[in-house]
Amino acid sequence: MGYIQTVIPWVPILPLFGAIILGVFGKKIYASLGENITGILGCTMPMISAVLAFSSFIALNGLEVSERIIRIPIINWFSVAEMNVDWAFRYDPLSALMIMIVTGIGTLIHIYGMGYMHGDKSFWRFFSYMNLFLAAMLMLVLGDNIIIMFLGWEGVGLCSYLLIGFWFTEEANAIAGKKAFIVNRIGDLGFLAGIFLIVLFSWKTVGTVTLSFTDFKANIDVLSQQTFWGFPLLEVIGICFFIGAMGKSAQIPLYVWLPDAMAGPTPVSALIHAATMVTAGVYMMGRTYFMYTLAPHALGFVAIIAAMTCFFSATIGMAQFDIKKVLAYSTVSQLGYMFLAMGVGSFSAGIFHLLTHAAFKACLFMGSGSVIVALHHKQDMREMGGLLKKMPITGFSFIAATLAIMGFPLTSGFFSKDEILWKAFINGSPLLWLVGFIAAGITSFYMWRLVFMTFFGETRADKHTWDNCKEQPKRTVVPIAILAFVALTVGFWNVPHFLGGHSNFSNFLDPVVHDIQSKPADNFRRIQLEKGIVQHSDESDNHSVAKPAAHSEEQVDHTALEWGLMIASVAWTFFTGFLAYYFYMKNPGARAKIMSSLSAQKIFTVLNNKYFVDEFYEAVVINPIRKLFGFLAAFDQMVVDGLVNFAGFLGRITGTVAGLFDNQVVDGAVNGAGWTAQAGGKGASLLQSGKIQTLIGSSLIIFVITVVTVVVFMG
Amino acid sequence: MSLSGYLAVSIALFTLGTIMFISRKNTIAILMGVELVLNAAALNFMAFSKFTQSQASQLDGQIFAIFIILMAAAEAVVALAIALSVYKEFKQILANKLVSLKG
Amino acid sequence: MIELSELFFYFFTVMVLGIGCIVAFSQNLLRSAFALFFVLFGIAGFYVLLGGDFLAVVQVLVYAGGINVLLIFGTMLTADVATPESSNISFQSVLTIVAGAGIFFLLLFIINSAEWPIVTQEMVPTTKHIGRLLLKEYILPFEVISFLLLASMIGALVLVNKGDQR
Repeated sequence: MGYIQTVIPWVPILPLFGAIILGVFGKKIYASLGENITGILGCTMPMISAVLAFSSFIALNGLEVSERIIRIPIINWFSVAEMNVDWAFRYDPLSALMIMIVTGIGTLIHIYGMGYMHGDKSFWRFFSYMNLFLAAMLMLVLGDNIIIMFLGWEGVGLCSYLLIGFWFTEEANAIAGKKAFIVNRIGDLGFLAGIFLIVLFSWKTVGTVTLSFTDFKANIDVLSQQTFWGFPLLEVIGICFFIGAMGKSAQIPLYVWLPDAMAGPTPVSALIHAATMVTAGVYMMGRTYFMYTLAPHALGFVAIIAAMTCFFSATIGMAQFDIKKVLAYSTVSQLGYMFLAMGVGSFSAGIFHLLTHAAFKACLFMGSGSVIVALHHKQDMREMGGLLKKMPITGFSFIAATLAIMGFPLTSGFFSKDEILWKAFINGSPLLWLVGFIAAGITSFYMWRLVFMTFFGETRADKHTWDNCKEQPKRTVVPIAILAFVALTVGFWNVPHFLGGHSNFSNFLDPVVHDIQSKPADNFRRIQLEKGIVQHSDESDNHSVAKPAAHSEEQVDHTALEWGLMIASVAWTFFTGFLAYYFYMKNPGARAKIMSSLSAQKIFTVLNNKYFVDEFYEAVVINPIRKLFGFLAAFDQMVVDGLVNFAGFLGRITGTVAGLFDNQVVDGAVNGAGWTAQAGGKGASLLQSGKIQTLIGSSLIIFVITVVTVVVFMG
Repeated sequence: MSLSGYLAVSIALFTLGTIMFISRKNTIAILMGVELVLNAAALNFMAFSKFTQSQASQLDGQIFAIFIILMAAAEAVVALAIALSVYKEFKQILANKLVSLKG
Repeated sequence: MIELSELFFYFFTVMVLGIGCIVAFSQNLLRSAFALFFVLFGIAGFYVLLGGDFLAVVQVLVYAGGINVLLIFGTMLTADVATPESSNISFQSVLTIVAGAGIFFLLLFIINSAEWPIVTQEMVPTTKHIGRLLLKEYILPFEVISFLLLASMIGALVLVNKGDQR
């Protein structure tokens, strides 16, 4: 037990040190010691944190299940009235998993970054910011209370801004960074509102406010009975927190920053916008699962938004030509899947998809980055093709990750996506399942379209680029290969029952993230009845609900249905993958024929321009605000200037009066003081010797000697 | 923290000020040394004001520290005026060269 | 867990003594003058820890904001235009070291061997009390120091003006 307590506080602090050292001394180190040393320095702290994270996970497994929630307080931060916030970390199965993902993938991406950023003159600044990001993200997932999590939340938002606008000398990049930060902030407003509500109502009901997750969970029954403006309190807080998640994890309507964020370097996209920062919203919902269990309407809202996002961005991804934009919309869509799982109450399924997505999406981004660098920073897929022969390791890893994302049987993506779709069907509604199902097919289509356009067929790159294109150095491709392997195998951690496994992952997370085993609304009703909150007059209803909370709701055996849905998904994704193959490899002519029809072109324009959402926001939201600014500025100039001028006039009058007084009274005093000084000075100037300092120094020494003598010889 | 902690800091600061005072050549630097010494004394007074009893009122030490600050202001003004006059006259303010009071 | 006020005490100690060393030993006079700002802020921090909230603000306003600025003016007005560093140390260094060490150890010894009658009291906002004290028990020093400030202002003006008339 002592090992975890000693080691975990260092996990977020070491990258912070790395960030500070590289931030302050990085320029000098880069200039004097060269790129390799700077890169190694940038990678050591994440590596050490990763070692600590993985070893803590092993230690955690050695503990009893009931002892697996460990609170590590560091220092009391502030204590105001009845509110007491500690700076404390919390290590339990969920945060153990998250820090393994963050540090593991983080370290691999840092090493990859050494290759990707080769030759860039801001090499040191990149690693400083990346380390800072790791520190903030680790603080987010290790926080014991909502305030620390929020600090990490804001910190990753800041680092996202810094890293997206890394090459800020290009105006487009700076604008993208600004957009990310501002849209994030809008979401954070909702998050803050949720926090304020928790503080207010905790204080009203329980009397003390600590905002730590354990206390929040303990008080949740009392809080569930409160209402806010007529609505149940937990529903409101649930929606407020989800608004924060909308901003951070790019759901409708606050997803618009993520595609623009591709302006940053590809390692940034891989780490932040695929594996870690955008998953903060999912983590947050997992952490507060106990609240969402008691807020079925909020969960419904989440599920609907998630399904819409999932489908909507998948359709946009179909029509993009920039390789990174396709992956960006794919990320938004996959995040939709995660929130869909959360929305139907299967929190551990959502987190499992977080894990698998982190592995394969980071691999995909890194692979695309490798391709981009090899082709000298070309990102348009219409200029690629046939790269598999030139970049085999990158290519095959990319294909492996594509198999994972489409849900090819036995890959990690297969297990996680199928789990989500099954739970959406059984605990949500068949309509939710249908949306997810269709989106899975679209996912498979656009991913294979990407693969075929980039790695197969005749190349469309110009000769010079083609000749210079080769496989990237080891430090770039080895992380890609490692992650491809993980993407293929990590799925076996959570093999579901109907396929013969034991859902080990869900069981591992169970003490801290407990799934809802039936429809959220039914589950909520059952809980209320159990606690006697709602009396039901109907006897028969009482009997049917009086069963103790069954751990497996398999009174009806759904195995056949599960098999059926799984086979349908696999067949559908294979079909759309084949469609991609047909239209892009086998018979491009058919594609040209379809695209030449007017309606197809119109649809394509809409998809390619992202449904004109950005333009819509510009017209409806941003322009009115600009007009308001203009009005306020004019008001400022007219009213405030007038006041300032008036104040100046008053000052002049006062000054004249004071001056007159000064002249009369002060003259006499000056003469008197002067005469006194002169007379006194004549007497005192007999103190001669040129160097006053010697005089004083020697007198000090004599003083010291005198005192010592007196004390020593006279007792 | 504890009284001895503050007194130790005050002594260290006093010593730094004395060293500056005795060994620097530039008059303004000597003045800075004097400022350090005065600050050390004021800190001393404040520490005693917090930790010990006092006759007239508990805040005796703080009153004294206020007067120290005010006096330091007056002294800094006069000292700088002198330094400027000296600079005008002798074109330099290095203490080891301003020895016309010798004898 | 660590006490927050202890943390602050150490922080201010390091700030005052560390930057005090910069003030004392820097070759660049302007650097010393600007470092003195931080020392004064550190002392203000100590005052806060000792319950002298009004005094801390007075320190920052008058000492850091007035006297230190004055010192910086003095530095710039009397500087050698050609060389920005205008002060040097290690002038009569033997004397310095002996005197400095002697004073330091003597005072340290005095402090350690004394038994201070310690009485801790709670911290109250002091502004009201200081105001009352200045106008009741300490009215005489208050008036005298007003006169002192006036005299010093006048003296400074005279000194500077006298140079002009010559």
